[in-house]
Amino acid sequence: MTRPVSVRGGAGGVDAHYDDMTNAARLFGRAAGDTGEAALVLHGYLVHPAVVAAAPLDPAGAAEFTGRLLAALDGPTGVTVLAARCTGVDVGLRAAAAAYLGVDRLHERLQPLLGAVAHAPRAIADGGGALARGDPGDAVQRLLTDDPELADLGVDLISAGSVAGGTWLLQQAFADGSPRLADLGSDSIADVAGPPRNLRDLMAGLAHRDEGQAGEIDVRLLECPDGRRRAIVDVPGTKDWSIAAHNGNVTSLATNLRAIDGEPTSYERGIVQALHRARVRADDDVLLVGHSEGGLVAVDAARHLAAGGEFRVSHVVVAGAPVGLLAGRIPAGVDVLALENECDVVPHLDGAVNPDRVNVTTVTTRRDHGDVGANHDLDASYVPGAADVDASNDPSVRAYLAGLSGFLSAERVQTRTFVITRSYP
Amino acid sequence: MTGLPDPAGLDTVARHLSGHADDLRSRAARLVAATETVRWRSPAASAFRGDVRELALSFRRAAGQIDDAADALSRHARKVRLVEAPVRAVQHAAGAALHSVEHLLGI
Repeated sequence: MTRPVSVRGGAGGVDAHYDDMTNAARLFGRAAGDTGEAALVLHGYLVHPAVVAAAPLDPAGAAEFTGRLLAALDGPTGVTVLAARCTGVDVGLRAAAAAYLGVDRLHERLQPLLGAVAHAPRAIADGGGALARGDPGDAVQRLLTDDPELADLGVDLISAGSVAGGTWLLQQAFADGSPRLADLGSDSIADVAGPPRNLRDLMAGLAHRDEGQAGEIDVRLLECPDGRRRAIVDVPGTKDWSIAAHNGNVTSLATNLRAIDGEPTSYERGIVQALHRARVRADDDVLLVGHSEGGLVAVDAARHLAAGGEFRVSHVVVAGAPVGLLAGRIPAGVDVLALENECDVVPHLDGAVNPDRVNVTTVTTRRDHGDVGANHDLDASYVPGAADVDASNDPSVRAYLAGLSGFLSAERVQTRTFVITRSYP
Repeated sequence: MTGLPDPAGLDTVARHLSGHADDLRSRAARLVAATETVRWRSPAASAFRGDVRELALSFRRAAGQIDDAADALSRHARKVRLVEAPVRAVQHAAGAALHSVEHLLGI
């Protein structure tokens, strides 16, 4: 049984580039000035000496000319009115750009607060109930699963409004090292399942890879009916919360602290090495699918690869990933779908709301298990959530899935798995 | 100095009017082109583009009306030429006669 989803951004959302709008407004302002000046000059021709002097010799002709020019200048759609309308467009466009900017800033600032307030009564009641039962651990779980927006507020408070500044300080304590790639060969179990046919299959594929060892990723090469080859890369999330300064596991804090700021990581560089090792070509379309920290790394990899041109990442699907600080920097050629479980606290750990962009579609599903881990889990929350998205008729969702169709219609799939680790000199 | 109006001056004004009409047409085309490149997508943006296309139509309509006024002025200039031709001929003949009389009288 699928459930309804809510959608922000994407092809059906609102997209406004303030600079474009103010530049166009400036053009209309200039047009208003030029047209107003033309109206003045044209009015002058009505009393031009040659016209005045000739009028007595042909009064009817002079009257016809005067009548026609006056209609062109001062009629309901005359030049004078056009100058005023251009001024109106100039003012209107500037006002619209300012309003969009203001609303965007307000929304990004207020949404966590409003969400936190809206969910607070239930969270407090559930948390209070757990406390009354003498279970403080469950009380915290209830608070965070009922009201995940609290995390946005908490992160904002702790980082004094600058997540980037806060994580930069912490990065200094956790070295990222260099990537090492080991080829584990093909995965016959994944291949037997066949190529993915929908978003749920993609999430199930990522969940299958997530069951592997730390740092394990895969590259799935798809043979498609259009004769083209495509590749899907599955990027699982954090598997190690150790606070050791040096940690060979790339799915650890050192990656989280860098990836959330958009910095390259050993995990990301290992993925690029795996693409080379799997013989993905520069002109193959690549889809990166990431969960949690893997979603951060996938978005960063897409951004950096788009800038370098080494591989063509056309799509990114992330689940339970705090990409709010990164999504606004995604280049136009990359389409991102961000799946967020409303009851999952992890997408809120960046303290930022995903921006409304034509190439960033954020879909919120709802799977509440009353447990922080289960609400973030692929099998428990995001695989069924992806089925909800598959069933959605939202225009942004349909447009995104239509764009993804090349990856969902392959005839054959060959999966190759790798393990990325981190080494230090 | 004949004291008669100058139809060539009327033709010059008509040409200037046509030049202004052409300017309005190019301005309309520039505004529409600029609007199409604005990255703004929403129901309000669609309405705005519709408004600008309508504004461009009004620009072209006004340009057409100015062309009509220029044509009317050209017709007026032709009429003035027709009306003033006999007057100019009489003026010319009178001038020639006066010159002959002056010549005979040795003035």
